[in-house]
Formats: sequence, C-alpha cells, structure tokens
Amino acid sequence: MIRYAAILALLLPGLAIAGWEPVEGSKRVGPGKGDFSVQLPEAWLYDSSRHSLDASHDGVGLDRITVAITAHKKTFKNAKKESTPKSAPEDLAEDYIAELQAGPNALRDLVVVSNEPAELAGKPAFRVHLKYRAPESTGGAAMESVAIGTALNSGVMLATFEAPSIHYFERWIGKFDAAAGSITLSPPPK
Amino acid sequence: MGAALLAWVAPGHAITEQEQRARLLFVTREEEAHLEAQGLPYGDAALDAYLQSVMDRLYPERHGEYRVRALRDTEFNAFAVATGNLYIFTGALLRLRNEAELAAVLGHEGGHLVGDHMYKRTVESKSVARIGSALTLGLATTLSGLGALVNYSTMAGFSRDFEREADRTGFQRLTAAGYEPKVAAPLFDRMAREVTERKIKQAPYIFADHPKLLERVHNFATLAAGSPAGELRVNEFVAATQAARVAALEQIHERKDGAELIAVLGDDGRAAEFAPSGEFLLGEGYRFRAADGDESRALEHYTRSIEQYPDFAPAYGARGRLRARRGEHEAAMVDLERFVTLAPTAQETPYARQTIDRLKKDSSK
Repeated sequence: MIRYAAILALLLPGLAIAGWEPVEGSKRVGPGKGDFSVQLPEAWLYDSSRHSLDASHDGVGLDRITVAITAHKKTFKNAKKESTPKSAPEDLAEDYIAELQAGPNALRDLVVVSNEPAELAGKPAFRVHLKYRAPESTGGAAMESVAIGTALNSGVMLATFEAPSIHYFERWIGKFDAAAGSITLSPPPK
Repeated sequence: MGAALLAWVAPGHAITEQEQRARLLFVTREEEAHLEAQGLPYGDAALDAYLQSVMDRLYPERHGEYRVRALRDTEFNAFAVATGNLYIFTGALLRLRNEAELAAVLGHEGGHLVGDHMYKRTVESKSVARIGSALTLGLATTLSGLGALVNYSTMAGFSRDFEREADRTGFQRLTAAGYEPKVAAPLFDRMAREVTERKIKQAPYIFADHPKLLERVHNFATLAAGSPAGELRVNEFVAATQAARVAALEQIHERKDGAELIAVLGDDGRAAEFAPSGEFLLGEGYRFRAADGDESRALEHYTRSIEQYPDFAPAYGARGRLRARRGEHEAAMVDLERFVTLAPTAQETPYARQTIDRLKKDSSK
C-alpha cells in the first residue's frame, strides 16, 4: 500500500501537467462540457477537460471525487437497466448497486453500508455508502465509496467519492459531502 | 494444495488401492474443512437431524456412516463425497415439495456412495491429483465457497453408467422405504424446466445438463410405472425445512435475482406455501426481471399479497413504488402512507417518505 501511495505521489505532478489544475480559493469549477458547477475542496487538484469533473488530493488511487452526468441509456449499461428523467432515487440506488455488481469489472466483496434519501443540486436523490475490495491488480485494498445521485432530463447526475478505508476515507468524506452539497445545475461563472 | 502434494509419486512405485483410497479421503477431508471454514453449513441441528432421519430410512444399514447436512446456498443442488458425507443445499429444499422428493434426491446421492463411484472415478482418472486439477473448473467457480471439493464430489459428473446405477439404487431405496415413487419423474422435469427458463448453460445441478435430466425423467417414469404407491409426507417435510426454505428465498430476494424467484415461486399455488411473503416475493421477481409485461404481473402479485394479508407492509411499499413509477400518484401515495404506518422503522421507510413528499409537490404544481 505504501509503495502504491509512493508511486501515485510520483504520478501526481505528471497529472497536473496533463490537464490537472489546483483548486483556487472559492472559485467554482465545472467540466469542459456539461451544465453544472461545484465548489471543490481547496488545494485539491482537478481535471475538467472531459464531460466529467475529477478531483483528488493525494492521487486518484487514494482519494477521488467525480461528478458527472451520464446519459440514461449508458448509466446502468452492465446491469442492463435504463433510467428515465422520472426515475425515483430509490430505483436509481438499486440500479447503481446492481451496476457495480455487474460486468467484467464488478466490485468484489461489495457491502452496502447505508442507502438513504438525500438531495443533489436541489433535487431528491439517493446516497449510498459502500465497502468493497479493490482488484488484486491494484493491491486489493479495502475501499469505501459514497455516491449521491439524481435523475435529470439529460441523464443521471452522480457525485462519487472513493478512497481506501484506512485513513483516506475518513479524512476526506466531510470535504466530499460539502462539495456535493455545493453542486448547482449551472455552469461556473466565467 | 493437498492434491498437488499427493501428485508426487516416487519413481517406480505403483500405488496400491489402499493408498489411492487414503489419498482420496485425505484431499476430500481437507476440502471439507475448507467448506466449514467458509461458514457454508446452514447450522440448524434440528434440520440436519431430520435430513439424517430420511437418509437412515433409505439406507438403514449405513446408519452413522452416511451423514447429511444442509448447506446455505440457493441453487438446486446436493452432493456426496467419499468420506460418506452428503450435503444438500437450502436451495434444493426450497424447490422440493415433500419428503418423498427429498428421499429421491438423497437416495440418488447415496447410490453413488454405495456404488463407490468417487473411488472408481479416481481409478479411471489414474490419480487423485488429476481429478483435482482437471475436472470442472467452471463448476468450482460457479459454486463459490465450495472450492475444489466440487471436484471430489458427485457434482463433478459421472459416466452415464454410474448415473444410471445411482438412479436404480436410489429408486430401489425410495420404494423399499415406502416413499411415493411417482414423485421422481416430475421432480427432474421441474429441474429441466428451470435449467431452460433460467438459461443455465453449465448447470451446477446434481443431475447435470438438460439432455441428461430429460433422460432421467424418462427413466424414472418407466421405473415408477409398475410400482405401488407410497408416502409423500408433506407436512413433516414442511415443518422441518420451512425456516431454511424461507431463508433461501430471502437470500435470492437480497440478490435481486428475478428469474430465480420466478422459477421457484411461479408455479400455481407455490407462492401460497410461503405465506405471508410468497406473493410479494413473486411480485418482486417480476419487478427485478423487468421483461415485457412483468410490471403488470408484479402489481398483480403485490395486490394479491395485500388482499390475503392486509397488514403485510412490504407489499404496500413495493406496490406504491411501482404505482409512482407508472404515474398513478394518488394510489401510490395511499400505498406508501400505509407502508410508513405499518413499518415506521423499516429500511425502506425514509425512501417511502421521500417519494410521498415528491408526489405531493408534483400534484400541487
């Protein structure tokens, strides 16, 4: 694990060169293409060059926040489920968990710690807290993630945070909840 | 590991029958210990005692030698190993309908033990190690937790001759013990149907693939044609196994396997055997499967559940959720409010409250 962290720490400056930028003060950021913005934790690095927004403090293998809107037809592709703009948060939560358990990259030893109603971008949402084991190829660490999701006209908006259970999850979960709470369905001011 | 160690043979040393048997028992015991460590035994002493009583009725002369236990797994399966132990899955108990059917399954597995089939297969394969490494890797991965024990059990598959011999022995024991012999053919027919309906390609079933199952249906129908009627013992079977059967159903529900729930509960009257949750779970099966027309079928079964058991909360929650999805807002709110009243602390209740709030906001717009 320590070796893994060291490798990622070495990679992080490389990520910054490849489009990752530091979060500055209270500046809201959004993805290159997509209509939402978020206040990310200060001093994290973020990548907004794609449809999604990715952010990390210590390296994406150690802590990672992702916010994305994915088309209804694609969000739960492995689980062979299709959401709609009217999908209830409870149904989305069920399909989200099924998606993680399906397909070639299905998560191992998945445990649902909690599954409860929440709010995202002012809309009724689900909040799912999961524990699982990372693939052996990446060290097989005990991982935790939280996903908050809601259905929009354009697709399913998901804000997720994942980190190893040891140290990193507890350290940053509060920052993730604050960031998720700041999401609005409008692009960042220019 | 055990099989790998046992693969080594000193140059020029011919293995005696005694040594070969000792090796088979050694690796089997090692794998059985693994099964225990995985926590797979269902662990209900009263249930195991009942299963043992059926086995002893079939094979009275083997009392204390053949030992039966239930394993926690939802598939339709049972197997025997060379140590004389037989294991039946809770999923098999779920699908059986009476003691005579249970006896047909145990009788067949016992037939493999009587016939010494595990050892004979070892001889045919030349070595214990070869069995461990070469056979049915797919089965071992399908039946997680069983590991390599699958390879040393009756699940690894036998020649048709061995299967026919086990069928004959099992059938003789079934009739000699006074059980109804006509149960065997329909039982295997149901298994064959499930293999087809669930599109199972490599069936992790006692009786293997679909053609073999159909052949067995024919064999048993022929054998039973001239046999006298016997006992079914429905009540005894249900009383002893119901808790394990319901636990298996809940396991399938938790896994959200719609096809399996429908395969188990879909036959007429089957859901009623699992009151009060049977109709609700069948509705859940259709909701999970989500094929054309399944949403209406799910609603039908939730409604049937509510009609039969007006205080059974989960059916209101599920029907309300489905009605909300279909845009039947008023009816959905009535169901969800009833659910919240009946189950204020249920895990799903916060979501039910969220849906009620959402529907109220929508209707006030």
